[in-house]
Amino acid sequence: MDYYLFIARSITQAQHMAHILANCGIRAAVLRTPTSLSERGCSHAVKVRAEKWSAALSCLNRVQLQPLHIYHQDANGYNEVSV
Amino acid sequence: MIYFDAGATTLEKPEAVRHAMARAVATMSSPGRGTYPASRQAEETAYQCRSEAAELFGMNSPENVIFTGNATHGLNVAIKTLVKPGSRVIISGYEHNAVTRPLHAIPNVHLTVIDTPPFQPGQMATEFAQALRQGADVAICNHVSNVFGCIQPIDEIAELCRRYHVPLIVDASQSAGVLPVRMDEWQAAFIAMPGHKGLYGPQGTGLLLCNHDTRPLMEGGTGSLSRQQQMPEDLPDRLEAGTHNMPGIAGLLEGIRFVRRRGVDKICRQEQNLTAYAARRLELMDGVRIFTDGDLINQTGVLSFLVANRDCEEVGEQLARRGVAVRAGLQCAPLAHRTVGTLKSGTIRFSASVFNTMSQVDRFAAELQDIIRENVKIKA
Repeated sequence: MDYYLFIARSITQAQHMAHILANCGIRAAVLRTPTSLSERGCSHAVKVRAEKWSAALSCLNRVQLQPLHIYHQDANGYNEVSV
Repeated sequence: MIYFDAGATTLEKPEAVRHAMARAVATMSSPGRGTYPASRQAEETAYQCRSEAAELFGMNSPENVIFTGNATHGLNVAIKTLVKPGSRVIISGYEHNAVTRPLHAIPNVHLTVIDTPPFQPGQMATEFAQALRQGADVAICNHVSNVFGCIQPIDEIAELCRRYHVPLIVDASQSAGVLPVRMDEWQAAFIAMPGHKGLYGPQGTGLLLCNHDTRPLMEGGTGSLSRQQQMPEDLPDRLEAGTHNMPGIAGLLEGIRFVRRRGVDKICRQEQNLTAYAARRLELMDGVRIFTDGDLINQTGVLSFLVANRDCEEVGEQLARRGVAVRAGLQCAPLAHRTVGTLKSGTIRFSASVFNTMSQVDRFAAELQDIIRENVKIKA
C-alpha cells in the first residue's frame, strides 16, 4: 500500500500530530518507526494514506507541528520527501 | 478525622482517581515502549493527561507539559535550568524551601527578596518593579503563599518580567486547581505545580509547564533516540528519563477532570467561604491571632493562626488527638515566616479542600475553643 510516514520527535508529538490530523478529518495511525528509518534509535511516526499526505502536512503546518522527516513508502521501499 | 491540611496534600480524592489508579496498575505498562495494548493504553492515558492539563493551563502544546514527581522536582528543573553561579535572582519573601534550598545550593547567587507584608499585592508588584528595573537574570514567585494563603500579584509580576525580559518561574503549588493559572497570559518561563494538592491527583505526581529551553535534572532511557547518548532535545522526553508513574498519571488525569468539571472559580469560592467562616469563628476566641485579608479577596483556602502563650506544635498535636488534622510549625517556608515575623513561633495552618464542610469547621472551632479553655484552667 502507498502511504507516508511523518517521523515525530517523541511519542507525545506523534500523538499530538494524530490528534490534530483527526481534527482535520484525516485518519492517521501512530506507530513505531521502522529501524531502517530511525537513524538515532527508537522513535515514533504517524502514518497517513498517500492521497492525504499533502493535506496532512498543511494541517500540521497550521499549528506549527513539524515532523522530523517524511518518508513515502511504495512497492520500492521508503524514500525521504523533502518539503 | 477531620482533615484541614489540604495545603500539604488533599487527602480525600474523587472516587474516579482511586479507580483509575487501580486500573492503571492492572492494565498499563510504559508509554512509548511498544505497540502492544498495555503500552498503548499507557500512551493514551499520558497523552490525555498532558492534553487536559494543557487546556486547563492555557498551553497549545501537550509536549510542553512535563510529568514530575512533585512541585519540588519541577522547581528544581526550572531553577537549575535558569540560575547559574553568580546569577541575580529576585524572589518573593514567601517562597517555600522548594525554591530557596535549590537556590542555596547554587554558588554565589545574588538574591533580592521582596519582603512585602502579607495581603499587599499592589505594594509587592511595586517592589518587584523596582527590583526588576535594577536588573535580574531570573524572577521566582509563588502564586499563593503556602503559609498565609495570600494571593500574589502574578499577573502584574509576569507583565513586569516580560517588560524587562527577565524569565519568570511561578510556583503554583497552592493555586493550581484553585485559581486560574495561565501560561498563555503570563508567558512565564516555567510554572511548577504538584498533582496531589488542588488537582486532586495522588502523591508522587506533579507537572512542570515549560515555555523555555530546559536542562535535564537527570539522564536515562526515554524510549526514544536510543542510539544517541545525549538526552533528546525535544520535550517531553528531554525531562522524563525513566519509567513513568502510570498509576499516578492515571489518577492525576481524573483529578484534573474533576477540577475542570467542577470549575476552578467554584472551587475557589467554596474554599474561601470555608476559610472566611473559620476566620470568623477564630476571631471570637480570646488569645487567637489570625493572619487574614479580612474579606478574603487576596486569600485562598489557607489560614494561619496563633494561640497566645501556646506552642503551635502543641496546639496542632492536641487538635490531632481530638481528630482534627492541621499543619503546625514553619510549613517548610521559613522565609515566609521571616517576612511576617513568625519565624520564632511558627503558625498553625488551617487549609481546606472542596471536600470540607461548614460543620467540619464548626467542629474544628469547637475543639480549638476547648483546648484554649483547658489551658486557661490549667494556668488558673
